[in-house]
Amino acid sequence: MEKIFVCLTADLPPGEARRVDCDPAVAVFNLDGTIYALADRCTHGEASMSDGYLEDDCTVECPVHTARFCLRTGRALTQPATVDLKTFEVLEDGDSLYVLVPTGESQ
Amino acid sequence: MREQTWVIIGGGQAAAVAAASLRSAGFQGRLVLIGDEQHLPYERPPLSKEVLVKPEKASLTIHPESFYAENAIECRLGVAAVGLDAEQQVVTLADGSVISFDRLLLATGARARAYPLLDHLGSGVHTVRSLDDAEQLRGHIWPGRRVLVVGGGVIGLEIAASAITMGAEVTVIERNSRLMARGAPQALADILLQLHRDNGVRFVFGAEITEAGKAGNGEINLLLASGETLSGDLVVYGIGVELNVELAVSAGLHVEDGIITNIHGQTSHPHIYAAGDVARQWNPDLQACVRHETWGNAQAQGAAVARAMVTGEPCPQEVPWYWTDQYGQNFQIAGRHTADEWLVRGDRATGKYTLLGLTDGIVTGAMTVNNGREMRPAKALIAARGRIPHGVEICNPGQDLRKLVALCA
Ligand SMILES: Cc1cc2nc3c(=O)[nH]c(=O)nc-3n(C[C@H](O)[C@H](O)[C@H](O)COP(=O)(O)OP(=O)(O)OC[C@H]3O[C@@H](n4cnc5c(N)ncnc54)[C@H](O)[C@@H]3O)c2cc1C
Ligand code: FES
Repeated sequence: MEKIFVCLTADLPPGEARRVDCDPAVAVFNLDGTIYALADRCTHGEASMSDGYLEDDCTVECPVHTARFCLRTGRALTQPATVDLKTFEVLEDGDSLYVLVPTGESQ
Repeated sequence: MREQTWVIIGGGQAAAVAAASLRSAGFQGRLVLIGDEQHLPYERPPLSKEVLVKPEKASLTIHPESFYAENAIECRLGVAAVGLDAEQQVVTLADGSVISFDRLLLATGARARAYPLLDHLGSGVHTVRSLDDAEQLRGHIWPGRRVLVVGGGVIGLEIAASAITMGAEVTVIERNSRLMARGAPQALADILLQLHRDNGVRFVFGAEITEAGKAGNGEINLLLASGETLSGDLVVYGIGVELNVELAVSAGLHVEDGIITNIHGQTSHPHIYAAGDVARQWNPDLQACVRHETWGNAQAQGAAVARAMVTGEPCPQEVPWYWTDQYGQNFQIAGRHTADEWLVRGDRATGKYTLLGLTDGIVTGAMTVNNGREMRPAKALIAARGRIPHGVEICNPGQDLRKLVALCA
């Protein structure tokens, strides 16, 4: 596992998202104080999920063709996406947020 | 009790989504889906985009193959329904088989409107409605090919963008004096015209084709009323659609620019329903029946009508909405296409912004350019017939549109 710095916890307020430009890119979301991390690239196309629309029901909607994914599991919930997003573990260490990306994941 | 048989005719977006929705709403009887294409239902939007430009990346699946067996959806593919007897509640298929139904959903969609003047040229003339059409076209576009695109609507423009990306030389021939006259705000037409010109597309407006001919070497020549002749290696046209309403008409259903349905998606026959491009559903807000040729409508209406078939609940009304992707940019349009004034939210120079259309002070339309995350709140604003109160900085992108919407509704 590689521990990758996202941002200061204070810099990701509720309702906001961050993109981490590792390989693969990771989208980190704050929904009402809970932090989630998913693969940033929508499984349906080229969209960046960190530009997506966060919903209160713990989903994020792709900004390009509106496929919805579960923040917790990455599951593709609606068309046009049918492939789930990978999820990543989030770590809060001191005042900072990190994601754990499996080593060897990036090619 | 005898097991019920419900049948869906049409193997497109609306049909596939409806099949899933019938099951999730609790229909447990026999469910048959009849589609005349060989393929399982697939997404059509990529046909004019990824399928041409980067087929290996095209994502076409609506439901994975296993889904149909898991949900006991009997697919009869590659065979058309050719007869519908509404009185007897029987469908006849092209292979001669006959299916009696308790309920039927017509989701037969549309086909590309034919252009006989061009069709008579035979090879070298293409339309794009099906996967087979798109795959065939792909094999005819390569760097340096001269592609004549007839029709400056969404499909024509998407094909033009794809052909340019594939290295072709592209001329768009439009009868009207502007692009997308049928289906987009002038503001979007202007943005797209500029984008295409920047990418090297040539446009001929106000063009009436009077003659079409093919030379011995295969070169296609289109003679315009202006006297100009346009030459190319192939022609792709997109001039609108014809609805697949023949079955509905033969069954005596009420058809008028689409199969007329009530708010439950029910046609003039109580056991026959319709959804998607082919259906014209009653909209109580507009006090009129409306029809849409969009993915969003096929998706939402397919699901809603299926649910209505099971539960009897009315279909929720959605704000009309669609997207188009050209040169890797995403444009989304919702609500009315005309407005007194369009407010720009964000900086156009960044290539990422939202336009809000105001009519009599009410938000009636919206457009996002590479800014899809604002479409959801913008649609909510349109649905609420929101007014923007004095002092609300709706054009300030630093302010969360969602929060502003709460102040306007
Ligand atoms: C090239 C292209 C690009 C598009 N891009 C976009 C886009 O970017 N954004 C957007 O919002 N919308 C887009 N659309 C529109 C969108 O794809 C349609 O609105 C949607 O597919 C409509 O779904 P439908 O199920 O109602 O009809 P269809 O998709 O037309 O499906 C109907 C199916 O029923 C079959 N059928 C018809 N009659 C019979 C019969 N008698 N028996 C058996 N089968 C029958 C047809 O062959 C077809 O397979 C695009 C469409 C095309 C063609
Ligand atoms: S790119 Fe995300 S839904 Fe199409």
